[in-house]
Amino acid sequence: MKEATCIFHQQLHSLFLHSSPQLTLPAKPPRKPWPENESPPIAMSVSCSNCFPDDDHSFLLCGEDSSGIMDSSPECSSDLDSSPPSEAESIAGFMEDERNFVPGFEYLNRFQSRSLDASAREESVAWILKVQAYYAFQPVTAYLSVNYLDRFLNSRPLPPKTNGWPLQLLSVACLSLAAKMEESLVPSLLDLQVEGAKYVFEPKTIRRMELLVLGVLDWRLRSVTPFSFLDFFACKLDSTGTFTGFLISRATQIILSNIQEASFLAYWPSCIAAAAILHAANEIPNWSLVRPEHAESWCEGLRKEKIIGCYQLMQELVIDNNQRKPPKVLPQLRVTISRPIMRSSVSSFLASSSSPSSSSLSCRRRKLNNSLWVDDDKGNSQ
Amino acid sequence: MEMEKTGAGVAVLSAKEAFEKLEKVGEGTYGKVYRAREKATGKIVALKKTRLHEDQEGVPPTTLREVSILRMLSRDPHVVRLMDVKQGQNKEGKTVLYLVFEYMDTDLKKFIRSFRQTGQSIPPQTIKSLMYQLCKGIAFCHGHGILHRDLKPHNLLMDRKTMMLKIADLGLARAFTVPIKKYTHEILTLWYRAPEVLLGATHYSMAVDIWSVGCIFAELVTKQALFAGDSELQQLLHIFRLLGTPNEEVWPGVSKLKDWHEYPQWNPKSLSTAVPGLDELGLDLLSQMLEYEPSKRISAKKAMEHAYFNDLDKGHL
Repeated sequence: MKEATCIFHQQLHSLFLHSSPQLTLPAKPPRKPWPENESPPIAMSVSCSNCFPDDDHSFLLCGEDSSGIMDSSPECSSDLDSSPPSEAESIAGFMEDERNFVPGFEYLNRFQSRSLDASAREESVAWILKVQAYYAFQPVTAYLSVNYLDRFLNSRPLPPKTNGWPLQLLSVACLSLAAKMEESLVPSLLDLQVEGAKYVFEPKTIRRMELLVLGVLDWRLRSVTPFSFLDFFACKLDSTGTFTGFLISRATQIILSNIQEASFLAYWPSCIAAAAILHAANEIPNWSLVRPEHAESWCEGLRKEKIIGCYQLMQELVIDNNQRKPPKVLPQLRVTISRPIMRSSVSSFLASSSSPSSSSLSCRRRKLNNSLWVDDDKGNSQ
Repeated sequence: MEMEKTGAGVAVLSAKEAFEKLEKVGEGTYGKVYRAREKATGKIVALKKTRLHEDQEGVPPTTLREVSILRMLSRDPHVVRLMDVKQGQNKEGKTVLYLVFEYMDTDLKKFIRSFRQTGQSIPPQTIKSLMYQLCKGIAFCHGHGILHRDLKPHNLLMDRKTMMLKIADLGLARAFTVPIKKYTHEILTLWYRAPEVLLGATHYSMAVDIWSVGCIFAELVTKQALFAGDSELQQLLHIFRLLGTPNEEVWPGVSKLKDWHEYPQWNPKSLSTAVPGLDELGLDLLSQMLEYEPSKRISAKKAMEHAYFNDLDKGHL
């Protein structure tokens, strides 16, 4: 094992034989998919106040993933969605597969014993979340990036005493792979390196790191994530669909705001999803309290003790976050600024009281200079 | 040959050292496909070559999706087996990836064409066996959260000797959450494209694959594409002529789809006029695969349980 690690470190260093990390920014500043005078969408934490005006829940949607949550009928199975039996089959498949896409328990132990640096991981995850917000990537893209990063570090510790560039290179490669897996429009490798990246790596260096990551992960990028379960669990909890949009949106924010916390590595995606939905449900006023025990019946394989543990951890972190920074109050919603947010964006967000809508975002994305983006979803010929 | 671990400290042969290329058998978006022999075992394989442009955007998204999905699905007998991924360099010293697949000697498009050329019908039991295998493979994909999105005869590989069918070419496949969220609608070869996709729906589901399966079913019987449009509009009109122009009654929500317009009004015809030679049970299954309303379309798993397959010996499939 020691020999393999040594060879691995040589491989990593050889990435830089011909291209050392540059401390300069790219000559051409990356383009944001929205006008200069507007701030990017903010990963915000929303709690509803005591009423929903006119039953319009659209104000509860998070900037990154509002598309598609509320634009169909509130029932849990819309006309263009799969029928419930198929959903249950897919969920069973996700439950069966999820164990293959989580780092082992010893990985978490290495953070607890300080043989791995939790603060360095936290910094990397914070950067991934900033870029996710900057480009309005889907939440699952950020989650997958972190999943790849953790699974890589679980298999291959990075060389120490390197000023942090290997971890940043790994973060860029993981984010690039996740974006290519999930996004229809992917920024160029240079443009991905925004939001306070200390080093800027050449595309060929990132490409070589991508191949290294793919080798270590055995090309298993199609991870099961908490987002695979959210809609299904939300419908289990709220079969009328009245609050489904809010539950999914809020649970998404909870998952993303907790992703930096290494302690969550103790829980599998289905468990994190169940705990996040429960947490979101208990923020809805006048709803009877939903207990973690209720979630065990949602599908085969959920364990009450695990859900309780995960739920309690989420509660602790919410309290912890609230103590760090008092929540700002807006009409109709309470916005708790969670750690991944770029502070400079907050004031402009509060002034406009909403992030750019997903539809306007997608329009702006289309206006981007095509040379900067890879649009990989075009049809092919017969 | 199991898929190699390409991580640190593992000595692996390059593709050039490990394989002898025999002939080019096809060309895809990112590179060529070769029939090749594995030198160590003499086994015949298919090598799918993917170029990585040195200063561009790393591993192409379609390659990432295809390989990662196959890493999950390849254990199913009705999904083509990805045996290995090898890294090599071409003559100019550029990095090349080789995906090593089990070799299949034909595909369903060629298989159908061979019957069309000889004027013979494909035996009904052969059609039944191929359809069952296709439903089984798709049920496995859907059960693991994968939409294929580009099912067509060309992407269904076959072994003529054993009559085994395997789903291939998952470069356009996508993982989905439940229910399915927004996807681009510019996917899928026109002839096998579901009406909700043609009408601009971006929320779509496993049902898009089932529509394609239905079109393939009809094509196996008639040896002609069921709906052979040469534009999105023509494709829709072909569908409407046979199945009737949809409305809110038969398909609630259809008129709210992005690309819905006022179309000529046709009444539905009997499927037997378009697919003569298919028995009653087959027509019933086909009609459930070609339901307009996606949520009413039969699932792959339910299709496998349909009475049409009752007299099929499923033991070896």
